[in-house]
Amino acid sequence: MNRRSFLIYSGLSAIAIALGIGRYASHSQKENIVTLQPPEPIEEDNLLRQAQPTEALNVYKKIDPVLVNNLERLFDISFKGMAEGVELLPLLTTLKDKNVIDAHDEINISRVKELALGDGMIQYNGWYYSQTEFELYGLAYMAHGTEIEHKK
Amino acid sequence: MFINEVGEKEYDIAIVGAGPAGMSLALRISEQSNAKILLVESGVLESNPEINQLSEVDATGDLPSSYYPVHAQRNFGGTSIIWNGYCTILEERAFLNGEWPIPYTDIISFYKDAVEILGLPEEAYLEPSQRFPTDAYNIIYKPYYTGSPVRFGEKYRTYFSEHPNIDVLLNHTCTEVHSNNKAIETLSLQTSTGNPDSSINIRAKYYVLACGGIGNARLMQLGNIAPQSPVGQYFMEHPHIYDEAVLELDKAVIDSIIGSGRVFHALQLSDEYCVQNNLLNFAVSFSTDDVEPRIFLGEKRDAYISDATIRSEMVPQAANRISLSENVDPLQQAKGQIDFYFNYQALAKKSWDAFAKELLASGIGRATSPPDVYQEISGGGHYVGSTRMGASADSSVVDGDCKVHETDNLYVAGSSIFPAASAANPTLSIVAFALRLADHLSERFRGEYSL
Repeated sequence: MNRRSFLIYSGLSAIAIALGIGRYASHSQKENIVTLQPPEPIEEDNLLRQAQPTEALNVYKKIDPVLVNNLERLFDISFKGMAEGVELLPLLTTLKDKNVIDAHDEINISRVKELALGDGMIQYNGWYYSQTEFELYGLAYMAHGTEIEHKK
Repeated sequence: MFINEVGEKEYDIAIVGAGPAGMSLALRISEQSNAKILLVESGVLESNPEINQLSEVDATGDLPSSYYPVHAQRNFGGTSIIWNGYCTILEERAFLNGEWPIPYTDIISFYKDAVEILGLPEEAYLEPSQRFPTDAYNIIYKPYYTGSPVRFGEKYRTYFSEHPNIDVLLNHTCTEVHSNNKAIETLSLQTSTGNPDSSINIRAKYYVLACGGIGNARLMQLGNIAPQSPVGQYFMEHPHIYDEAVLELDKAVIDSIIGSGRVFHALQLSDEYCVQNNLLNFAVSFSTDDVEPRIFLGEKRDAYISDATIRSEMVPQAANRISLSENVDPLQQAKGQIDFYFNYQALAKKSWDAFAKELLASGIGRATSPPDVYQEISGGGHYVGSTRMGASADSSVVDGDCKVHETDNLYVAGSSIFPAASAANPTLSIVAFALRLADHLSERFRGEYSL
């Protein structure tokens, strides 16, 4: 099995694990690359903290529909595992503080690219992401994924 | 012309080995001077299994003994008989880093003629690499080129058979280099097949060993040439890792730079980045067969999805070496003993991390993270570094002119002179360095033998 085939299988496995176990709540850091792993003890000051059980149900109400719409094109089901371990509002605040999401709830692509030059990298589900990308795609999952849930 | 015996004739130059290095050297010298050239080849016109047994070695390490003879073919044309034709020039990294004793410009100018000999598109010389039009300065596009792979024995047979100043002696294996102090005086030859006692000596003013990355070092060891130098040490290969990584590359960015005539596409970290970050050169090749949408840096884009192949240079290690075995070949000469380990796992991960980060930050694409352990690291059939070029006799075997240190008239041609392997397949550079050596030797004959 080559690496692409392996990734397809492992990606499906990761989603299955995420659905079953729920959370990627820890990370290990080596140099400037963070590798996400299955749950281990949680660091208090880590952005990737466990969400409260009721929070996911209220996510849709906390994000402006304009932003939900803008995040839709970044929705990726493989970020479900990441999103389940994250608090929405701190994540949103982080991205707004970075000016990745601007005052009009638009995604500032230039800023994402600019930050990528200095960002640390995260290894998630077998791929490299910049820290900002990782946060943004997690938010996109939360926004769109929970939108879907809300509409159900 | 092809000859069956040498007699008492004395040559200006005797070249041992009629592969791409030896034949390119003879071609160039014959075009520039009236020097009398003897080209000695262990093999015959076609591949001969009995003669190829002379390339068998004993081996320990990452590659089995059966691996080595495959890429050390003995016939008129040498290993070009099985060559796949992939070509790209050496990177500048090792020159910037002082690993070569000569400036990069010294070799670059010879690629133009090397490209012509190998029948490559001129872009192989004019556009060996390209920078992206974005700000992606740490990633470059460095494709591999090919024409129809040149079989030297077929392409140049008529030239050599008709040239009045070149004698080609087939089916004769050089078994020893005889020296008197600093001067090489004679070479001993035996017929590769037939009578094992049929030893003859040949004389020339200058001698060039061009019998491959293993053969050059072994022949020097058989004659105890340059015993103070690291003959046989720092033997290298090109670590190859197939299908253990995947790339997603922004189609629009890639399309803006790739062209036709390339046998495959490849990305590399720039030479400057490698020097600054203490990395070696490695090429990451990819295909453009599959396109799917992917998200890069906040945007959904069409992407090329491709398995990646890593082709790398490796750290020169004195312990990776060719020496003389206790066992002998059919001509009763000591076989080569090769001890070789890639020791590439840690460097592979460090290099891939750097590449993946730069690839992402530049907006070109995304890479998979490396496995805990690469499952299979294989070689490229490229034998490099065993008679390395350098400034001094205690740390290298040949000087900047490819002359063996502390000898007056012995030279080496081929990738065994490379002190750094580069990520590039070596044949194009083997030919370029052979042309450079030819110019050096022709200069010594200037006036005496000018056309």
